[in-house]
Amino acid sequence: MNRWYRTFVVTGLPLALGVAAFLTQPAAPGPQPYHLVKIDNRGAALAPWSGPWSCVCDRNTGLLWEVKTDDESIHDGLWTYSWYREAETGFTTVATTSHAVPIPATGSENLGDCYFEPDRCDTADLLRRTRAQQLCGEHHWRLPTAKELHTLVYTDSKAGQPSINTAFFPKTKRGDYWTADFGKPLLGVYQHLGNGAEAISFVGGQQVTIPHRNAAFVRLVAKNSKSCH
Amino acid sequence: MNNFLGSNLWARIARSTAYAAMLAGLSVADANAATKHHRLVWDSDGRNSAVIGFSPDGSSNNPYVSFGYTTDESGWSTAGVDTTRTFDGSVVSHFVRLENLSADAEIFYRVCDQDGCGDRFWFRTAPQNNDPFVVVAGGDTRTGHTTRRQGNQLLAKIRPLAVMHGGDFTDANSASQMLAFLDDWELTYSSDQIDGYSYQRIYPLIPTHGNHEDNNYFTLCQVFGVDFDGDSNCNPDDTYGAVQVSPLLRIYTLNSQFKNSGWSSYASAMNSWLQSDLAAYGNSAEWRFAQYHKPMFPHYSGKSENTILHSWWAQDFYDYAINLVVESDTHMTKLTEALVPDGSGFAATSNGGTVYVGEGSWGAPARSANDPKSWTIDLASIQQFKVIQVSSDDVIVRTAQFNTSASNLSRAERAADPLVLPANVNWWSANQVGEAMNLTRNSSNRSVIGGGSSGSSSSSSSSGSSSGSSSGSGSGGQTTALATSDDVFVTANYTSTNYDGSNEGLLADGSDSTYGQMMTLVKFDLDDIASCSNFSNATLELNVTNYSNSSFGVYLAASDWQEESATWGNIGGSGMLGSQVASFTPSSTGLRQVTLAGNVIETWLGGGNYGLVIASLGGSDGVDMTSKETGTAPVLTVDADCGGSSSSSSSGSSSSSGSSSGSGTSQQFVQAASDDVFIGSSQGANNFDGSSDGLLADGSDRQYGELYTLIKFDLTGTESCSSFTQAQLELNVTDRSGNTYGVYRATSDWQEGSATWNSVGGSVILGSQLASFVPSSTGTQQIDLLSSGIVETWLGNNTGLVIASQSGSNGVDMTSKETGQGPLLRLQGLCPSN
Repeated sequence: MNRWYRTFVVTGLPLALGVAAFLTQPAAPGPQPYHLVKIDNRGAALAPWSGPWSCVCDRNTGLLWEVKTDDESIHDGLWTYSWYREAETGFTTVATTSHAVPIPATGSENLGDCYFEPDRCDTADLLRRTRAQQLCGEHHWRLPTAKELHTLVYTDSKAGQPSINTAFFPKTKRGDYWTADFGKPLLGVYQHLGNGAEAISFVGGQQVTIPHRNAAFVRLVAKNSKSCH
Repeated sequence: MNNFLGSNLWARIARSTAYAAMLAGLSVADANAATKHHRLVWDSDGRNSAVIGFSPDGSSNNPYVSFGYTTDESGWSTAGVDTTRTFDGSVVSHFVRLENLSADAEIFYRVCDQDGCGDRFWFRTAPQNNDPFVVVAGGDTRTGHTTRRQGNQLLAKIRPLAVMHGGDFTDANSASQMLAFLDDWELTYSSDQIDGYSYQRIYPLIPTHGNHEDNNYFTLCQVFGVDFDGDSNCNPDDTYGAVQVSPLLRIYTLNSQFKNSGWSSYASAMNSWLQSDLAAYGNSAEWRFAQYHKPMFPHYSGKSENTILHSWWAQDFYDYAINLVVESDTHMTKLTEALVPDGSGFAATSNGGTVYVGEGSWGAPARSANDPKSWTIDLASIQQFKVIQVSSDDVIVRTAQFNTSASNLSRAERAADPLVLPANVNWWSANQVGEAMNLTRNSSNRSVIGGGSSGSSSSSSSSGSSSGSSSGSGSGGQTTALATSDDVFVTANYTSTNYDGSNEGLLADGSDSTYGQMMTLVKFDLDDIASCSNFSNATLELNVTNYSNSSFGVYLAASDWQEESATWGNIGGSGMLGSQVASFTPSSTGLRQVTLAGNVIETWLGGGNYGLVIASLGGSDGVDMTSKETGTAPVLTVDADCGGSSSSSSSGSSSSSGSSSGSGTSQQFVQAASDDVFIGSSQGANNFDGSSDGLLADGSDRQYGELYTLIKFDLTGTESCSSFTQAQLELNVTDRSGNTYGVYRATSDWQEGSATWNSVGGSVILGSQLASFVPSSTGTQQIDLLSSGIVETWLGNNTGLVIASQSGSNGVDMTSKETGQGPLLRLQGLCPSN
């Protein structure tokens, strides 16, 4: 083994291997961006540790969610609402015929409890006010479908806590949250009431059909919002 | 526990004598004592004792109570403060215990101090005999100030003998919140003018410890002065006890919060006392009520079951014939069957048991009533308390919802009738039992639901009788509505164009200037009737939006087609027309019903479901209809015997209690108006039956003045139906309005041939409002009347309905049965099978 060869073996080879190892080394693992993003009242994204926030964007679904509060505003988590859809003067479809049938009002008006209405409260009240308020810069707020709302169910919550990520969705109650899905037949003691609407229980994430007159909680949703896409 | 009579009566009399001199020195002119937050409590015997409580309002030295049996204050006695307690460090309350009072007497009193005597109050002691009375029972006043105040104001209108409060007076049990509660409690006073003086009637409260009082188990004695155990001390033992209201009623108040960790010794003492008191004094009253805060089985899934309370009390309640239990905490209303303990739960019984009601929503936000039990009669998320009429023969429980609709009951009205209730209370109507649940006692003194009602107001449910089978099906078969699976039109001028989903809906014409000849194809989903037989009364229903005076034929389609691909060319044009099954002239807009001849359904089920074709029988005056994409889709209804339907009775019957129900089949009815007419205030003597104007409603019309439309439906054939799941009014609007219109029950009967504004009394005809709507576009307007319960009302007294403007002068025009599609009533209910 000559000198040059020995030098290569002793110093050059380890050095070459070291350089090669460095070049092929995978990048240091960084924090994976979490799919829930806090959104402030004007629609701007906030860092996970920042606040206050009024909405949460779920990047997995592209849905922007209302965040409940404890300030007796219209978004207070204590308020309950009966399920009510106001009559719509438009049409059941995109048809433009002037003879189309208007959508009649459905549900039970003013049978929930909030402090921001002269009468008692229903889902249409919260929708109307939240749209007017343009919460988080968004005015296309609506009730979520059961499928959409179920994406927030977090089954590994602590005992006694609601089945949701309370770090992002504080003031959530262990109870029923209304969805937009309705027209399902009621059973048992409710059967005489005909049809009801669907709710997701954040006690355990179950989907239940309950009468429109029930006072349940509401978390509104918006899709295709500027702050969540 | 306290004996019925007080112990230190003589000491009190002596003390009263000392105060008599002070009273004599009072000026006749009213000075005001510096006191506020007056309250009255019962904690032992409502016939002869009461605790008067109040707080200083500024500097009030040596306050005392001056009282008597008339308003003549010169003859009044005085009683000094027995105890003064401080709640949460700052809410100071003085309590004066009055004992040895006369039974069934009016007690007039004032609180006096160095500045004179304050406001005049009066209350009533309980009767010594079995005279009836009314009590109110509710709980959870902790939040929801607006509704809490409404409840308090309603209480003042009802004028009960006493009030049971199930706990959770405030949210934080803090001084500031308790002061707010006491402020609001002043709304429960009823104002009276007696012998020229302004008096306020004050109602005895029987308070309960709730979980929001858990930070201070002395709350009841510190704030209300209760001394259930009669030891003159304030301690947690004062959170349970019994009040003998009269020989009719003994009320047990229990502390469910002793289930918490650390309170087991108190729980043991309480439960031992309960058992011994029930054994010793339970039979001292005809009826026994209990109240405590936490329900044994909350009717809300967000609350845990309190099975320990069941293990403590349920058997004793049953064994000692507790008739009615009032629970709180969950913020809703519920009524149960009479219950008997069954293992760790309950079972319903018609042989006598304990009825449980609740669950506390006297202001606190209502929660979702989502956890009914097998023995629950009904439940709902409402703000309420119970109004209970107690008499020797029965107890009648009603649920009063909070609003301002109730009338005031006067002092004279209450004096004349101890059971009378104010008019226009917004009573909650429970399924099966209606507004009033009537309890009687069996031979063991346990509660049995049902029996005749002796109380005032309200109505009981039960069903009608008579017979008469359903509308169309003569064989007792059920009516099924088949949904449209495919609908489309095709045109002769555009033979390769598919018009599925067109915003023009469905068209048919003999010769259109643009499209040429047009036909509509319709197909229905037959899955729901695939196993049925004996089809009859097949009827096609179309929603006409552009009428025609030409005639049209309805044909069986000759071959199969699909809506997304059908064109004039690929269906073979008029070669698609099979045998004709009907013809009709769509001479007005709105829903048109076309009876189909022949065995249409059998043909489809046997040889291929190709649907129907609607084609012109000649002429160039086309008809437009809505499709399933643009509005009301075509519907095919048919009567059939569906053998499997009898099995569905398993869900409908279930048993429950002894009331109505029974099995039956769900049937649909479409009732056309039997009478329809409009009336106008400025032509008050004129009848407009059959007017070419159709039906009109307006707040102010230049020609007719104020306009109402009157409509009545013949409900023959539905008398024996119940449990309606659909009651929908359909109107065909021809001149729209952006204003809101109300639908009202007509208060008296009328006939279309004679009704005028004057004959119905103008606005007198407007009864309770059933619904409202905005006829903002022409065409069919559907209005849900189900929740109003009007169908059941009509089955008893069918006076029809009235449509009237709620605001504005922008009228609405509708077709009458004489001018086009008359009003329709769609019903679906459970009807006897034969």
